[in-house]
Amino acid sequence: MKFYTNIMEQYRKMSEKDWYKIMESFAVLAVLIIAITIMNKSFVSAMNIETLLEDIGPMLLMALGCSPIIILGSTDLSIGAVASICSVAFCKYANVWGWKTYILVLAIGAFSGFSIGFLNAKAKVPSFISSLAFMSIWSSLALVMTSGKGSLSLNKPSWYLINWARIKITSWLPTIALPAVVLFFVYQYVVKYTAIGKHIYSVGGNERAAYISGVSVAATKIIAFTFAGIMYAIAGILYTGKLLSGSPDLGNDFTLLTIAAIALGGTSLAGGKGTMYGALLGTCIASVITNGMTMIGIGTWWQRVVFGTIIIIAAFLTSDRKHLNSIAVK
Amino acid sequence: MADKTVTPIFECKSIRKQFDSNVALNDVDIVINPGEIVGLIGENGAGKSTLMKIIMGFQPQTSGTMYVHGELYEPKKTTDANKFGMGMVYQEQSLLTNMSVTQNIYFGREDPFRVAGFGLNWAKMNKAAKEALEYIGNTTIDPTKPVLDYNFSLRQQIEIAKVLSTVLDSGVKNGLIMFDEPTSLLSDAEVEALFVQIRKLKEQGHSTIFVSHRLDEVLRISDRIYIFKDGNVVGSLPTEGADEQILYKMMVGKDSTGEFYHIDEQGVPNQDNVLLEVQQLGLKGVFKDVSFSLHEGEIVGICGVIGSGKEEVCNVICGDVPQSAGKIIVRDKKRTLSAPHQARKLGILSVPKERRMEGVVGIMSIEDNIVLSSLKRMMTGPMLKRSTVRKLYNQWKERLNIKCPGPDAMVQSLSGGNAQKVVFSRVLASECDILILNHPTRGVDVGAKEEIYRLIRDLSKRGKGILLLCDTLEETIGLANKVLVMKDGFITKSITADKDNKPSKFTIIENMM
Repeated sequence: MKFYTNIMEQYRKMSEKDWYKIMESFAVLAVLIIAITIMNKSFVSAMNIETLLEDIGPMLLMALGCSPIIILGSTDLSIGAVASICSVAFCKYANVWGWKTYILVLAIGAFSGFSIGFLNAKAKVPSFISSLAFMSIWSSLALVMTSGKGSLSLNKPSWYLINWARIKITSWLPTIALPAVVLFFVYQYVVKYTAIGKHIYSVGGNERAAYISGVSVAATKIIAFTFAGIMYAIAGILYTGKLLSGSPDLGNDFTLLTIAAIALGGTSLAGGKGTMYGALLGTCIASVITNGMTMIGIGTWWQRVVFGTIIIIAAFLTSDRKHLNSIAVK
Repeated sequence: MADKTVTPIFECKSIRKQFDSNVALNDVDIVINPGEIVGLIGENGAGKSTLMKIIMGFQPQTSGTMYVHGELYEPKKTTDANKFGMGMVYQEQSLLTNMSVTQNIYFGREDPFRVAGFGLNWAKMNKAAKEALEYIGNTTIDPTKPVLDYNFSLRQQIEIAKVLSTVLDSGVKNGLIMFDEPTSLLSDAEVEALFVQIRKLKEQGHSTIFVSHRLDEVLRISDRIYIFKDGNVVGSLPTEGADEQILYKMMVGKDSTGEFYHIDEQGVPNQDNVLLEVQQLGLKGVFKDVSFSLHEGEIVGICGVIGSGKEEVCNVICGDVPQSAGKIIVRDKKRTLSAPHQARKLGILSVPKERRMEGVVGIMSIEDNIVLSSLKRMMTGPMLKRSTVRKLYNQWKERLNIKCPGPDAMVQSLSGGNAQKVVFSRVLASECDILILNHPTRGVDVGAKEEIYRLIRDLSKRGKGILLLCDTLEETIGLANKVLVMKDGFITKSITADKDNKPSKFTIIENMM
């Protein structure tokens, strides 16, 4: 009996916590998978799972990078544009720079993130504005690099640089998903078990209190944005590997999709709350929905309508209405 | 007691409020007669605020009924309370500072001033606002100016005028005005002015609920006092014949130790070891030529009215605001402090004034709040272990007697006193030795207050240097080794306050005004 009440008590405590939100997202994912499978059996075929993982791999990187930013209470609209410029730059410079191209591309991502973070933290430009500006800058520069052509393909002699991302480990597991797996654990560790992780949550929860408590708010923001930029760059490289070309509008859809994924994972768009498990599950849900919509015959044109709606629903579900009253009163 | 035949202006019967398993109010009965000033006292979390929120319609009671002028009263929102002639003056004011006084007073009630359905008759509205201010006896406030232009105590008067005009416009002759800790940010003279105003309301036939942690004020102003403890009304007694000892006993359930500030435990600072020295410190337009030093084990109190610059001196020393002149010397080394995290690295950390805004991260857990200022020190290698954090939490929970549901509970669920203890835990866990305590006992109940005083003594005994800003002069005199008096941005006097040679309030006020 005591054992039973203990379990119930544990459950009650959990339902107030991050775990509960994770379970919720998990349930949504399970329901989606079952529903789509019923409508089209080939959804769970090895080939389709491989396609799903190819989607999830790069997108999870972007969701992981962006999650700390959302937890900080900021936004990043440059996600897709950074991935695009990085894919284009990779294709353009691969034959000259060789392995160093990786450094160049990661540097572009880091520079972009650093700039947005710096502008936000030091010059007090809202991240919404500065990231929007960088979105425009990178998209435009990507067009310049391709000289106005729709895309730039990776020269065959340079394929050796990216071949590692085109291997299938088994019939359903592509290597393109592996960086995300590794970095998921890295992010989970950093956010949960390091000082910078706690700093991120405190700044997102109450920036002023964190500042007065001796948290370097500026450093926290700059670090979060810089690493986010690097993650988008890695995602851009992976897309290059997948398509063997780079294109200025490759990342266009992913900004909205990534933020939707994060919100679907239970991360509060108001800041201060969220988990990396949430980012993982949210990404899976988003990918399953995109993939599933194609599977059950909903055209690509409609998919953005669905995602716009999903963002609104997710934001509605994660906003903290329970405490609105007490905030207004106290 | 008032005449029984009069219909009470407000009455509530067996009001109960339950949050999950937590009983915030347990069958509370209260009666308020016309023209009566009723004091509500009790420790933090005793249920006073919850009751006021229920009366104002912010949240419904779990069970029980309320009557206004004998009529059943079931508020759904705050405007319902206004319609019944009840209004509340909030502790942390509810005015919109960028709008004019008139706009604030008639906020949401502009309809009577509409011209032809759109546009507003501003002249008429300003005149009405002026009258509302005159009704409470204020003729100095210009209703066309933004609220921003007025200081805290004048803003409070604007708020009182607003509440009163709302109440009177509802057509009720006798209103009920609730004051939630109105004096916590006022100077002594301003408190006096507020009391004059409340007495005037009484003459005009309005009733008042007055909530304060300062027992002496409640005793002075109210006709009758309700004492709350753990969600129950443990007593109601006429002010006549009551004194602080009686109230204290009923509130806390134990005797106050007569030596409130533990003056006999006051230590002698180590004069050889200067922790912090400031020389000719200045902040343009606010203060100038501020020089003093803080020794090991010393408590330096700063006194001054609002606007004297005492708050800003602390803001500069904790790194929040950069100085514009002078030198800050920390342990014999000149330093420039450009942000609080730099100050923290030098061992300077503050307990800020605005607890919920600046002290705690409300949506973070208690243990994460406690560890927030000492994360680097708590790391084992590259890892912040959960067990280390939990150990820290247990240690401070025990030492400061924090009452909370558990380490994972969010700080926003705690009462004021316990949230303040979390702030203290965080600051002390950081092992900083220059502490700036900015109104450490503000909004904290008597029991927790005494614990904080004891803690401050304990800290100075352990060699910490403490810079102290207090709510009252008694507190400063009682706790400090040295009192600096500030006026208009200058230190006008530095007074030593050894334990057997405490200065009088008079000496300090003389230099303050």
